[in-house]
Amino acid sequence: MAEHLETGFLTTRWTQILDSRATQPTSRRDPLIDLCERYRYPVLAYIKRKTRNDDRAEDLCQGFFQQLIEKRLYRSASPQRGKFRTFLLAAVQNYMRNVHRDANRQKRGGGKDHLFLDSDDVNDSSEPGLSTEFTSDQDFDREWANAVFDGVWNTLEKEYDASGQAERFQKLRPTLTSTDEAVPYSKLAVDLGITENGVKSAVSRMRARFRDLFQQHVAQLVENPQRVDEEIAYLIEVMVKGSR
Amino acid sequence: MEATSTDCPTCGAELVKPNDSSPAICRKCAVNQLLLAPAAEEPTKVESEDFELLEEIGRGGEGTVYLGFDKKFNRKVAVKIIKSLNDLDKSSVLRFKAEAQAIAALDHPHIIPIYASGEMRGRPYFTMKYVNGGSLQDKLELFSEPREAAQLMVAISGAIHHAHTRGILHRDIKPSNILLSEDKKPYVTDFGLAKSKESNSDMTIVGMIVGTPAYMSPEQARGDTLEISTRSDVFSLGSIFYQLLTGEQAFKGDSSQSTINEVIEKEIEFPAETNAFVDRDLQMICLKALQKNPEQRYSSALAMRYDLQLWLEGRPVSARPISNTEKTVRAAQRNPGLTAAIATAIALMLLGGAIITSLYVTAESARKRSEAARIEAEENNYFATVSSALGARERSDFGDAQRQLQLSPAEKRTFDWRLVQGLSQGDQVWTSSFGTTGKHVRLSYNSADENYVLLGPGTQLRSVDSLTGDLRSEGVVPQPTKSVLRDFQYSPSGQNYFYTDEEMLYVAASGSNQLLRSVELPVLATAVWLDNRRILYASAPISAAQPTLPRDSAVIYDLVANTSTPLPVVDEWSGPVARSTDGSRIALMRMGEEIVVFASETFDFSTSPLVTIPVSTPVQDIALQADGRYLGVLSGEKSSDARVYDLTSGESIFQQTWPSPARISFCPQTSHFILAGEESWLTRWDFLHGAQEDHTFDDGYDDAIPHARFGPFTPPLNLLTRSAGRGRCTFYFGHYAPVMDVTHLADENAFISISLDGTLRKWSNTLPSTFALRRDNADTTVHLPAASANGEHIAYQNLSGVPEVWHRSAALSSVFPKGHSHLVSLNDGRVLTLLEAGVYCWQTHLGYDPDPVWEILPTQEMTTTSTVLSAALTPDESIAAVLLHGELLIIDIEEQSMRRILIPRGKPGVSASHQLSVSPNGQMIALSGSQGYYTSIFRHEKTSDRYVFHQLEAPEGRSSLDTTNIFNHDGSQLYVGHKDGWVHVYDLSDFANLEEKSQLAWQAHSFQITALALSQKGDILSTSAGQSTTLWSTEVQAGKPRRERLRLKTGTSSRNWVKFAADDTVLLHTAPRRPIEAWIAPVDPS
Repeated sequence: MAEHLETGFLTTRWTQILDSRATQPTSRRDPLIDLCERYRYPVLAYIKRKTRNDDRAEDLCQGFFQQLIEKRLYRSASPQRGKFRTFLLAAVQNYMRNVHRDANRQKRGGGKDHLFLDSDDVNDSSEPGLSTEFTSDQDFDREWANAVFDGVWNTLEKEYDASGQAERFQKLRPTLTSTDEAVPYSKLAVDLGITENGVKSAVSRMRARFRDLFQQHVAQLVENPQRVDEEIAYLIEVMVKGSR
Repeated sequence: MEATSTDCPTCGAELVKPNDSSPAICRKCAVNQLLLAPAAEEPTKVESEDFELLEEIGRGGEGTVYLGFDKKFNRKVAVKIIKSLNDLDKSSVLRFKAEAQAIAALDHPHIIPIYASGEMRGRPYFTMKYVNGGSLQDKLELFSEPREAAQLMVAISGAIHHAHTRGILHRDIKPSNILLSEDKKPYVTDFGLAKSKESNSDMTIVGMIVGTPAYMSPEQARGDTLEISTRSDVFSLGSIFYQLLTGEQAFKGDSSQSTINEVIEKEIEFPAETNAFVDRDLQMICLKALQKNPEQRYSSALAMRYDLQLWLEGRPVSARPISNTEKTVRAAQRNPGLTAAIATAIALMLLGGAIITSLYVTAESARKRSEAARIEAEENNYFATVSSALGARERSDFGDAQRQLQLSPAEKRTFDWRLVQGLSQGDQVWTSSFGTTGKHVRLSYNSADENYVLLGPGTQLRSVDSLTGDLRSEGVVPQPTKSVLRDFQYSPSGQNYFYTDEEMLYVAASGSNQLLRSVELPVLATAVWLDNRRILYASAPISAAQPTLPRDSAVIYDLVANTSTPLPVVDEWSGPVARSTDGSRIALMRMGEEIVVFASETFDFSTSPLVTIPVSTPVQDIALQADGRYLGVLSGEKSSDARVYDLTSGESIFQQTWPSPARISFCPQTSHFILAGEESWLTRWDFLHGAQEDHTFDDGYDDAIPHARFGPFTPPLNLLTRSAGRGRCTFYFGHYAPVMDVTHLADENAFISISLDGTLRKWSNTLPSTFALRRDNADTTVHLPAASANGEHIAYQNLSGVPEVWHRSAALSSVFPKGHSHLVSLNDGRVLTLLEAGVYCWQTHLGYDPDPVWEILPTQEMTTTSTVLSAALTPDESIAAVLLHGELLIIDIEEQSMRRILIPRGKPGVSASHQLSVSPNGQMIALSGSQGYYTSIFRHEKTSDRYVFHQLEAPEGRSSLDTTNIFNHDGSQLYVGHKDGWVHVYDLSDFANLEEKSQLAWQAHSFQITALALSQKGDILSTSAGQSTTLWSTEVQAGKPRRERLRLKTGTSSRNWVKFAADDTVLLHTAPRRPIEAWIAPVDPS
């Protein structure tokens, strides 16, 4: 089970979090740690794919985030930072290269040839449980999209909880994932003690809120506001294509 | 996420729990419901602040069109809204936005203009002019008369050509996309499938059919998206025309598929068979547009438009060859007098043979006329071809541009053709395929036989012709390496080469491939030739944390003496090492933490180094620029940092973090370097100017090379992809697997790369110099530019008022002392400046301070300020003329003397002029640009050795004021530009009657001419106004309108400066707040 310690929303854009960290001492609850924890799973999936060794992947993933946070690797990121997704992917790719290089350095003295970690051009079909039609980058993106989705879902749930509507959320939840016909509104109306039209608008409000939250969430992770829509479209694309 | 045992009953996807407390859900269904399902609101109920939607008036593939009411401007508008949120997939949103952008880029009386765009409840929309006469689809009968049809097609094809010149293909031209106003005026609309000039972001995929079957071209019908060009739109125009002429669709199958089959295969019936009123010529125009083979169609919509116009004027069309008799008859029809002559001649011929000569003369004159018409049609076709090639190039469709250019007859090709051809050259020169190359491959250039040589994998040695990419020879190195290859390099003469593995250095003779020497190496050594007999090698540090370097870590090995000499200070040296191509500098690493550069011919390493640069470790690669002025370093423990140091100051002038570069190589001719690495591309950076770019590229390479993410085995369609547009300094070059090595050639502006994709590729380095820039940031003001005739030395006053000379090829500049104003630049790099009243001549050196050569000090005090308004130079560089406030200076450069002509303050129209040009012989000086007056000319009179003054009057029919002027090649004509966009030509052969002899004039632009320039050959005149520079032929037939050859977009500007240089291979352009651009028109190799 993925650790989603905090599912609350970012209030600042990711680059601002990095920038403020670069100038201020870190507080106990570092927003960057939150950010990283939320996207730990995509990173782990990527590393797993690269190493094909779950235990080692966990270690490497831990090491990666430790380095990212402690060594402030983001300071060396390109000044034109765009999406947090691409930043993190580039960072983990770089990290994996260094790991690979270190591994090779130790081996060079022995006169052996370089050992290459498997790359995307290797057929991965031997790995059980992994889709063969995706590269590790795409795995990363798909897991990323899932993480964004889950974050938004949880926030939506929290919002309903916070406003004392936990029950309403639970009742209406099935309508979020199925078509109108699948869950009879008449039954929901009886359950919730409201009219059928009331159910209709409650469902509509809930869906609209989800969309808003999704939009807001992605906006925090993309530096250029004009590219938010493009990123959303991309995430949807990988989710629809990638869910099995 | 934890997988549950169940799958979604709806879609079969895996069910997951978004958190511990939540039940398992199907994300895919949720996305479909939440993010892709249509929003509950109907858009018709939505009101925006600016407009209100009244009713739905149309539906297209991407969007729904509503009639709206624009509350702000109180008018009806058409509002196009993306169809529904169901379509909120990336491509349709992007396509929708692309449509708005495409229309916004257009400005044509027959294209529906866009008013505004925005988002309404998250849905993109845009508003357009509302045209209320319905679409052509419903009004076809209004244009059933062939003449009406031709007139309509003239308007539509003009609009389509306009779009083409803006780099936009419509791809869905059909009657329902032609709207009509109440007065039958047509408007092209629905650019929903338009392919914008950012064709890299073309939202269609290969194999996908775009367009409407009945009107699409065969290449579209085949889904051959790569073949779609301006000619595809021409085909659609032909389909509409066919329908207008015959009342029937050219292709009409029972189903879409059968229609598509007809488009691809069926030969159409001739229009005249259906409609007897269709004239043969008109039929030929229609059939030429409907040719299955794009090459046989009109090359552009403009060419089709010209033919239609010719037909409307009753002249022969280019669509088919016509017989001589027909030409005569046709010419006669146009010319009743001639008809009479022929009739008379025939009548007389019946009387006797004496009249035959007369008939011959008449026929001859008719033949000449037809010939002239043919030539004109050919010219039109030529201009249209070049212009549509430029359009293709602006879409980055280099292939189409090249194809179109090749169609134009060789004898017509001039500057404009060469310019577009130069612009249309992709970067790739050749590709040499080897299949698998292996990871350990090194490249070196053998200057002895001008081959590139690859070493590896293993012991393989392959020579490739640097000109053609052909494999010249294959072999193996004389001594097999035991371990991984490290370095491989030919000696400067190419006579020998060395290669190293982790234990040994081997030297072999190039010709015989005999092993000459083998030397044991310290661990992980890197090596470089110092000269033809000495090799420097040093051990490479593993990292700073592992200072396990052996002693004698850097050694000079002498090939002839077979001796190894450790560098004087032992124990301090380590690799990597680099040598500048000119042999003047050597760089190597000391103590594993700094790079030291030595700069002596003999490389005396006991002296102190020229410069010491501290670096972070580990260092992956270093390189020295050709003349050793700049050092490039790739280093960093965790991130990969590329830095360039200026060794004159020791400072880092460029820094960029880049994922995993492994090799760096400098271009010897320009300020670019190439990075190559494990990634599948090469990047080129301009280290002198790149660092100043505030937005060089966006968030990453995934946008630049999409195929790198989604298909490692799909070769890039476009081998050159660039994330940035014109003027930016980053270029991406695509291989599609990691690049193992890259190297530049010293004497050719090209570089070569080898990749795991199994190819060796040679890339031309010339493309950025096509747009070679001084600076591209907005705070640079290039004031009073001047360039030498060879285009190499471009002088200007920079923002601080200091004169600078930019040496174009070297991309280096020389700065003059403050206070001087530059005047003119000479081919050899000399520059004249003015300080107070003195004239100074300087010799500039690339990138260094100029040296004074001579000076002319004033003999008397200057009476006016010395602000330079304008300066000009004769082509032979003997005389320079300078316009100051109220004063002219005429400088004899050979004699080093100066003559001053005071312009009396009261002299109207002269004292306030601000532009000057000098005739080629230096005997005439023309001044323009004064408020309220026309151009004035100072003419040197030999007898009296005085300058005679002429003030021009307003030429007949012109009242707009003069802004600028230029003399023609032999000084017989003066071109004068006017404020209203007209250009007037004065004949200077009879100086006494200038105005009377000056009847040649034409409107070149619709607003003020800001610059005139003449090609060095004299065949092309360029006129600039606003954002465009247009090229015209100087040769003109009396009575014929001037035809524009090519229109170039040069960006917004109020005052352009344009100059042809370097034997008309370069067109320089700049304007205030614009960079200097050099448009290269390379000489046609054929």
